[in-house]
Amino acid sequence: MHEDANPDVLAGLAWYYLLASTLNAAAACRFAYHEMVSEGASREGCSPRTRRPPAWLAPTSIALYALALGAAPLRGLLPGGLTLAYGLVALANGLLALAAGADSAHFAEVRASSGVHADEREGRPTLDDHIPAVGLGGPINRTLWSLVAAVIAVVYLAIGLTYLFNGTLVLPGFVRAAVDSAAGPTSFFLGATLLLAGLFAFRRAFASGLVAFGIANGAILAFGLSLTDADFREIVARPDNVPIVGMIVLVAAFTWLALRRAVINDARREAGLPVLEELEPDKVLTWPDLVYVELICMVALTLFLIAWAVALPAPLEQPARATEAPNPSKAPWYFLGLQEMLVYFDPWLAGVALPVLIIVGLCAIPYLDTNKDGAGYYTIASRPFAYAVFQFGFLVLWIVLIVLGTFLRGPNWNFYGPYERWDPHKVVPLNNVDLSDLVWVRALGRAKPSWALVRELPGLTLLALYLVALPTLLLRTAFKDYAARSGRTRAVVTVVLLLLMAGLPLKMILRWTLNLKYLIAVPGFNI
Amino acid sequence: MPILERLAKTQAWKSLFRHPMPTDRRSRVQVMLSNFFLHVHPVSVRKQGIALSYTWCMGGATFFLFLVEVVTGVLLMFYYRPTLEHAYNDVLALRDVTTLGVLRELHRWAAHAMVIAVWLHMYRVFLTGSYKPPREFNWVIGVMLLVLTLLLSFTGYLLPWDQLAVWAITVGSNMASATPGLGVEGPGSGFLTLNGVKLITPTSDARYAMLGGASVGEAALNRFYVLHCVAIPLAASLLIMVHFWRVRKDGGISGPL
Repeated sequence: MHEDANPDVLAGLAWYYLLASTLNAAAACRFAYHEMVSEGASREGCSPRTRRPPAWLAPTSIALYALALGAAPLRGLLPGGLTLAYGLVALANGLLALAAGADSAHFAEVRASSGVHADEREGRPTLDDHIPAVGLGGPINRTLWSLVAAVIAVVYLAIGLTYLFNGTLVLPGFVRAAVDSAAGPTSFFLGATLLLAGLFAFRRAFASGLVAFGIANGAILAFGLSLTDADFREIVARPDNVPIVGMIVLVAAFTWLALRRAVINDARREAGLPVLEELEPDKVLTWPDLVYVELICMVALTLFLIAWAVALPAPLEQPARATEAPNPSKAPWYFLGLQEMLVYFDPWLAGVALPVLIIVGLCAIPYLDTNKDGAGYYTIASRPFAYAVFQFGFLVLWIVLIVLGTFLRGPNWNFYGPYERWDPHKVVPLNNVDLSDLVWVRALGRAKPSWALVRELPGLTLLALYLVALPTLLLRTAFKDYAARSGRTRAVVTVVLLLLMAGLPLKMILRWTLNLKYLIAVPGFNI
Repeated sequence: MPILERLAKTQAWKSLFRHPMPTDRRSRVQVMLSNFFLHVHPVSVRKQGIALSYTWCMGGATFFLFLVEVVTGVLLMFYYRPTLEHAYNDVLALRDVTTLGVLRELHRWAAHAMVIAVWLHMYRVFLTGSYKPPREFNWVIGVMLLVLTLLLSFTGYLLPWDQLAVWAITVGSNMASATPGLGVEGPGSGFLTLNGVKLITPTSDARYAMLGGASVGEAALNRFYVLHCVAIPLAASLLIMVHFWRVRKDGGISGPL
């Protein structure tokens, strides 16, 4: 058993849970704030006249959180920095509790004393308010959820304190073994596909902020527990891999945000209401409204980059040696999806032809998608096919393959589970066969014909069926309306591009089910 | 602020800014029209169009990261010599010797962030249907900028000249030798012949043209350096200008028609 928990790791984990706890505290504040603003306070005509909490309470708590988060990374310079951070957070939490108590006392007092009902709301409705407005579920109980978030925040603090006082809470071995044995290229790819399909099918449920809140906390906890595994940590914490972890978070967050806005918009259009993007048709002056947002974004991004640069040194390995190839030799991370394709296709396809097709296909999108609906706002109902195909291409065929290539492909490009040691001597049997073997030897029980054209006849037939007969069929069935509407040239190009895109997952399935190596195998030209 | 107001009345100030302080409607319009850097923007924008939950701010972030790359890149060029003798040691010295030794970190992390931001920008533009007419061609320019971003990152990956860099570029550039017709290992490499002599050989194929040699060596380092520091940034700058121009000409930030 290697080191799952040395002092550095424990301190890092304590810091991680401090951050997770702060995020949940922020969520609790947000829920409570919107309770006051959009549901409670303004409706009750709440004006600041009775026992308001002192104005310095909230800014002080925020400043204490900021100090705590600042002290944690400086623990190298400041002995006991992490303990100090937890102390500051405890103080901030106490102040927040005080503020919340004062607020609710004030709120109760106003509710009891005044029968005034002001109908106008303070502040704009949030997306959470839009969901009940179009019948996508009831209004959320923000008091309850601020309590839930606060409790989760306290639980994270407790876990963090456990690590701070040298408790070794690690992911149980049987869980790691189970995950590793279930993980494989097949289960990983199919799982991602099913997840996307589920997201699409149950998008109305996923649009709720509470579902996202639950998923986010589940992911935080799963990632935190996984970090107790030394092998997982070694791969994830490589400097060049850290941005990919960030990318996963961003991609997930944006996918969900787009889905949420699309679901709300679709429900609004069904109800005959204008979409969210049409609610405020007014124009505002670029100075100050846009210029200041840009300035703030630039400052925030600069601070983020500087913090990142100080915290994480750029990798620099040994000087280049032409004779010693590292194992695994990996392309830069953004091309690892293409490198993963090399498992299924020869370099001329995976490294040249398919990348060119990706670029050409992307460029062709605006000319092939003739659906005029859904321009300038998020929607799924108006363009389900385009939305689903692009998400499958971007999320599964690009992002998921990069994640697979980065985190789960080790020496000799073998697959390794997330908690598996990258053992360069791992042997994976390669028993892939060509289609000609399957047909001539296995099915017909005779030797393969020596003449290449005859030998490859099954593959050539299949390819012709796939790229000629199938498009012809599709143009008369599923794409008939599209061809009539958008013209035959567009329809042919669209269908062929879609089939070429589908070629990758199809080849994967053939590999997993039939161990198929090549459809057509002629020296120098393998498909 | 009396000092600022008095300053705004001086000749030097007036020669710099052709408008009063942007405090009222008129001067806020003027500042957008008369300032070179701000006139990329229109005078007014649709309120919904600039909402963060709509745009995700990813296009702007990509451009800002490009600027960060230009500034840190120029500073790095002061210290770095693209030769086999110096490259690795110069990078080593950047960390150990140079004051404020996080330049390379800033450059590398901003590059990774730029790749991610440009993907997310494309993702947002697709999901909001913002490539639809009249913005079709600007989407195509965007795809080209995406490719250039990846090429910028790819060419820069080689420059530290360590094991990570050289072998990653070896893996990547090996693909070029599989180019159909033009790569020595690609299908159809035997078709190009002149008087019976094959034209595509290991020392005369697509990969050789890319690396300037049969393997990743000094010629490749020089080529990638020039591409990374001069050629691709120039091409990207030009396309960025066209991209921004077209955003304005095609109706500004997208929104419901």
